[in-house]
Amino acid sequence: MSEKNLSTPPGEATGNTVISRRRFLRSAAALTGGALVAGTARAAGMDATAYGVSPPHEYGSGEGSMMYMEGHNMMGVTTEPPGAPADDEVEYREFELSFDIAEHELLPGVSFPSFAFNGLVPGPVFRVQENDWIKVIVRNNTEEMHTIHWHGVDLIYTMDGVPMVTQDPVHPDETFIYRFQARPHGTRFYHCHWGLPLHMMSALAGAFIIDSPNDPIRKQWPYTRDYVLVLQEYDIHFTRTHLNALLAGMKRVNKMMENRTLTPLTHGFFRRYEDFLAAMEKGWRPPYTRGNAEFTAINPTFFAINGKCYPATIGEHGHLKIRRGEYIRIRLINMGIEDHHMHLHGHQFLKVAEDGNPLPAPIRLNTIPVTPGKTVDIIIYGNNPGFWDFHDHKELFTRNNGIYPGGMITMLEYEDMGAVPYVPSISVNQ
Amino acid sequence: MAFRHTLLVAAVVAMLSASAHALELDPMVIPEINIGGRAIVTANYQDQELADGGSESDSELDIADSSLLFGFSKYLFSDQDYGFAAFGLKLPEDDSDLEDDIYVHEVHVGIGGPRYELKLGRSRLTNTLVQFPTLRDDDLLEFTHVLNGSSNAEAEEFQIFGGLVQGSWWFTPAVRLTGALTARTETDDHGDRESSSNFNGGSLTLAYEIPETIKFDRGVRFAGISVDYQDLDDMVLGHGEAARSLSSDDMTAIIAALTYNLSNDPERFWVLDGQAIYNDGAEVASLHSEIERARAESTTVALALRYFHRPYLQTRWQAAVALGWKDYRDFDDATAYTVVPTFVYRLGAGVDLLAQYQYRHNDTGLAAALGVDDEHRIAVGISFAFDYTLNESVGERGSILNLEHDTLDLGPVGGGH
Repeated sequence: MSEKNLSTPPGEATGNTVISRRRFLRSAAALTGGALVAGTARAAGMDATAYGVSPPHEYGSGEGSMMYMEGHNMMGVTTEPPGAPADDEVEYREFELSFDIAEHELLPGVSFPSFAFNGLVPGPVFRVQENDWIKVIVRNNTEEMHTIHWHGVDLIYTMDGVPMVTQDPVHPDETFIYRFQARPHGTRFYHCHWGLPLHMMSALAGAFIIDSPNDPIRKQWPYTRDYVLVLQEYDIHFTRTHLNALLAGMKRVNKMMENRTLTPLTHGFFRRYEDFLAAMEKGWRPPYTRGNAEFTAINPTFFAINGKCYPATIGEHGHLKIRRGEYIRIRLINMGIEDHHMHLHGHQFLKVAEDGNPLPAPIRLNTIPVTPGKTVDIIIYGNNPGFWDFHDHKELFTRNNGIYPGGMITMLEYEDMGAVPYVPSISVNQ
Repeated sequence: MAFRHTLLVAAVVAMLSASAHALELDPMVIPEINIGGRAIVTANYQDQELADGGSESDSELDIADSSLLFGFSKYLFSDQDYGFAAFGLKLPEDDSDLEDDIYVHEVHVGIGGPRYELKLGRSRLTNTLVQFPTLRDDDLLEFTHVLNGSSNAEAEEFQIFGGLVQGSWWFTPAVRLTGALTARTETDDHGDRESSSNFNGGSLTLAYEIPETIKFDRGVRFAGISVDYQDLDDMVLGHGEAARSLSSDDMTAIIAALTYNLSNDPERFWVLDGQAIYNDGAEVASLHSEIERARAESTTVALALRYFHRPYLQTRWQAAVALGWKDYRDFDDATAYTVVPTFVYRLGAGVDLLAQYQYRHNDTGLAAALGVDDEHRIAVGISFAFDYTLNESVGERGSILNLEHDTLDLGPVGGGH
């Protein structure tokens, strides 16, 4: 087994790619005279920053990509990008994911078709330990392209999941293997980075929690329960109509790929900016130009905590429980496009981490903004028994299709109250 | 008589739906609104070689077939069922019996669900199964539609549209059975409209259909067979020695059609359409009038070959050639054929340059009745078409999510989509 990393010059491609990948690369190399291949590196004594970082690089734009090659076909391929240790060099914790299309029920009476990791909205929660080596085998069961970006994880750049920046998109029927080390500890998440507006409206996101025995938050506030609340909003009509339009287009694209007649212009892929300009000069028109563009408005009308809107948030889907004298940790993750200002009644909680990273000092709050792409960890101490609203104080987002109450409302319930004078019931139309 | 009774019951059912007007309307429950339309304007030139040996030519500016359609739909309380309505306006031919009118070609309401759809009102009749690639609806009318045996008007609208109570049942998302009671327009012997509401026929259609958005590789995309029945009243045509009586009668036509994708290249896409109509007809003495030709026993075959040019999957132009052949079986030398090449070049989304040439030849027997041996027509123009949806909230029965992912992404088959 040869030892290679990304400093391998073009044209000297060798390595331990999987068979299907190698077969593809042979045809690709015939067209381009060379391509990157999967490489290996010894794990012992190296940290992840050693992989894939070799400035200054010697490559031209688009090196390693198949997307600008005439007649490329990634269907049925298993892709293992370079840069990570081989399976026999470190001990990987292995996970399987899939890109699927599923019908998801936001609350009784409201379902919508959506992309979904493993058919779940949001995707399954990863809980790993800091410095674990992670191997995620993801298979694309849809007709659309996807990637996975590991948001907030310091990983090997070839595993960062940004299409046309760090990897080619994962094609239909393709299997892609991400390998990286889980670090630093904290509340992270993962999401598809392809076609972001639709794919975020389509719930392609999930929590990625990296624990550590040295977590200072656990040491300072020894919490006994750890909740993950994923905040997302949905324009289910946008999702439905654009999913249909997208799939209709992708059927043609995939057929052309199968026929090996797909050209970069079909999808708007260019190796260099100059190539893009040249195509425009020749009359090719990108879809955003005024003769082609559709005016797409995204107007979410359903707002979900862990994929459910109130009152479906009550119960197993986000209903928070606490006892007197207990610390609980809540990890708030905004995987959507709107700001959410989560307000807890009857308590002052502690903001202890932002973007997954512990704060030098906690901040005492009762309302906390969680903006898109951010994670915020809070600690609640059980000192005021009762049933307490925990909701988005941007009250437009506590509605279901315009009807209050709904959306991002859940509840903090004390389990040790004994007899109480008033117990919450369900209201769906005030 | 039994047929008339059946029609009466159907009419009562249709009328009962109007009682909903007595209930209050919630203005907050906004329907999905589809606005579609097409303005088509062509400069036409026509040259005819007459049966008497002479010739005639004519030219005109033609705005016929320009239309505007408003569709409305919303889900019902059941969530899985939907209601819909449509209103459409269409400009008739300048030289037809409707020359100064704006024809209301679509006024219908309906409901539907996962397996069914019921439509009541005026709409496109089920007297053809395939839409052929010509510029206007009437370019191949005699070769593609079961004609109206109750109309002696030249108006194509009376052939293509009519009242109906139509129900469809989907055995699978791609296989449906559609039955309709029809109320074709009835005219007097001069072609003046007498009724568009009398039930006078019915049809039954079994079809397998996969939308082009899903199937563009080689193979069958549509296959259907339909039986079209018309109950015909008597009529006296002409005067004096030329007077001819048409008796009360009925006629049944069988339509079979197929659409076959010839290529599996989405950028260079070839499609073959074919349709045959066998009409058992009614007793007629001549082929001189519209209504006689509609009632005559006939066999019709239409074929069309279409090519779509879509570099980078962006539609740029379509070329098509349609062929039609028709034989009036009870008459000697009463065959006609036509060849219609059409070219549509896309200038922008929905804005097309149009060009079409049509040649038609009538055999001597038919030429004597029509007064025309051969005919050449050229049309060149521009069309502007659009289809816009407001408050997008209702699905589409033919959507990929419905057909392939079983997500009940349902909506009306028509209704402006």
